[in-house]
Amino acid sequence: MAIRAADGVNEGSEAPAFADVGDVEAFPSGTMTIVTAGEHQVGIYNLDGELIAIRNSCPHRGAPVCKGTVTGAMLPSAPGSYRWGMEGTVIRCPWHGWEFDLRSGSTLFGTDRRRLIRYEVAVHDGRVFLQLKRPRESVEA
Amino acid sequence: MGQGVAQAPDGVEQATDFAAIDCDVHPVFAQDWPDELAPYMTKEWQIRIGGAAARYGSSNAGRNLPGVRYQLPGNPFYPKGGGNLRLDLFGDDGQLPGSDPARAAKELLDAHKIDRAVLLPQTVLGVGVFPTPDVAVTITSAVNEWTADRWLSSDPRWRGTIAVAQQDPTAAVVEIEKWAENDRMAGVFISLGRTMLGDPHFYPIYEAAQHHELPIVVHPHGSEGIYASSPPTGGGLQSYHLDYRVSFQQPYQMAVANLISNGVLERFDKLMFAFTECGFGWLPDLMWRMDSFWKGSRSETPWVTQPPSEYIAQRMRFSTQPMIEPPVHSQLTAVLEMMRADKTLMFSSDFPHWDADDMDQTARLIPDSIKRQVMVENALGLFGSRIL
Repeated sequence: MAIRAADGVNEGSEAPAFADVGDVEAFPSGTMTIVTAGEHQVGIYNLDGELIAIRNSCPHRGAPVCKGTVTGAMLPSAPGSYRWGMEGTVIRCPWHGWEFDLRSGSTLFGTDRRRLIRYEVAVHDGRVFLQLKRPRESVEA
Repeated sequence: MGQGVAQAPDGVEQATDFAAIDCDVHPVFAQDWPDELAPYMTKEWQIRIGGAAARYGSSNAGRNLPGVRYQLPGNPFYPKGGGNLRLDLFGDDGQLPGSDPARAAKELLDAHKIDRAVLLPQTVLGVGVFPTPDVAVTITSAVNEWTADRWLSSDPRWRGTIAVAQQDPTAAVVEIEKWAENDRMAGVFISLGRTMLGDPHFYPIYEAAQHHELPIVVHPHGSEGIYASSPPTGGGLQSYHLDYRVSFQQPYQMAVANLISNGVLERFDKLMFAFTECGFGWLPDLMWRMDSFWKGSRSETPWVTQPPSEYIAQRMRFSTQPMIEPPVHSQLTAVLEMMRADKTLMFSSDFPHWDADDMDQTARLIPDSIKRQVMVENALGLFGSRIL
């Protein structure tokens, strides 16, 4: 993604466009770290080297969704049978159990337009940046 | 999965001039049930069950002696004074309301311009609670013969239901197969016992019903919560008729949820269910709650691939009687909208019970925008060509 250099962050009087949330080494594979970015808490997930950032607020009832379990899910299946998949890419909210696809932010049950609020992540010179002002196309429905 | 949305059958145009289909009418036995059913049972079963002719052998014929007599499961504890039949319909000679098919046709079908009526014989409504399977099988089998012989033959507007003994699914399938080719039989009636409708116990019955495009019809029988073999009611025992009246719909609310959670509507993706006289004002809450909990507990029941309210809208039907009477008419309209009555609600009278609804009044209460669906089309979609 196009990102301005770190020295452009927090430039001027407007709200910053990017947040520098730490050294990339602070987010090792298989972990989730909650950071503060702008006015919000954001969970940074490292899924096998892929950094995913989501706001720590469930779009359903505002729960700290990043405190939920990262897991797989039971996929749609014939009655009485189970099929496990999506290992390590699903987060289950600690309050009402809504399951979200971490990569898309969408619910697994699929009938609700609300999604996890995601942030674009960029690594520049070994630092991790979150884009706080998101491009229009990624604004939630 | 989940594509079994019932469509109005071919030939539906034949029914476009129907004014109403009544999906809950109760034929009443003119005599004590063992005597009424005796012609449809073997001599051995007449003796066992206790019909008058066979009760004590020929030497006691005509004498009113006590003896073996099965009681049918019913409502022994919370009766309404005056019984459950309309007093205005008793004949001068004491003839019971709803016991003469020709008279009932005049009083119900002719008087209210009802084109088809689905029969649920009241005497066997509780047969599913009977603890002895072979007795239940015999009674249901005899009742089906009685329905065809006495009622279906008397007027082309009557439609029967194939009563089956839920206690013995194998025998139930035999009974369905026996009647399925009779297109005057419009559904399979299951009298609910303790086993919930989502249980695999019922799957052979569902398989046969779906194969023959027969919907499953259930109806409260009054013995909910009363016997060890009854479907339990919520919380505990009722005290009076007043609280009893709101208790007997509870097992059917549970049945709606249980069918969905067990994936029955996915396993049998064409099968439809009719919940007659089970009420409907509770439906919006159940739909919303199930949808809500489904979102959070989806992983346990991943075969429930649609929101529960969608299964209800597509595959379950509820009947109007007893019509709720909110103090402001707009509240009824709101409930109908919330329960998606344009798909889920069907007219019923409950004739000849005392709490029957008047057809003309029911029709007036239903908003014009969904009147046709409620009075005719939803029943057509459920019962298919057998109702034509």
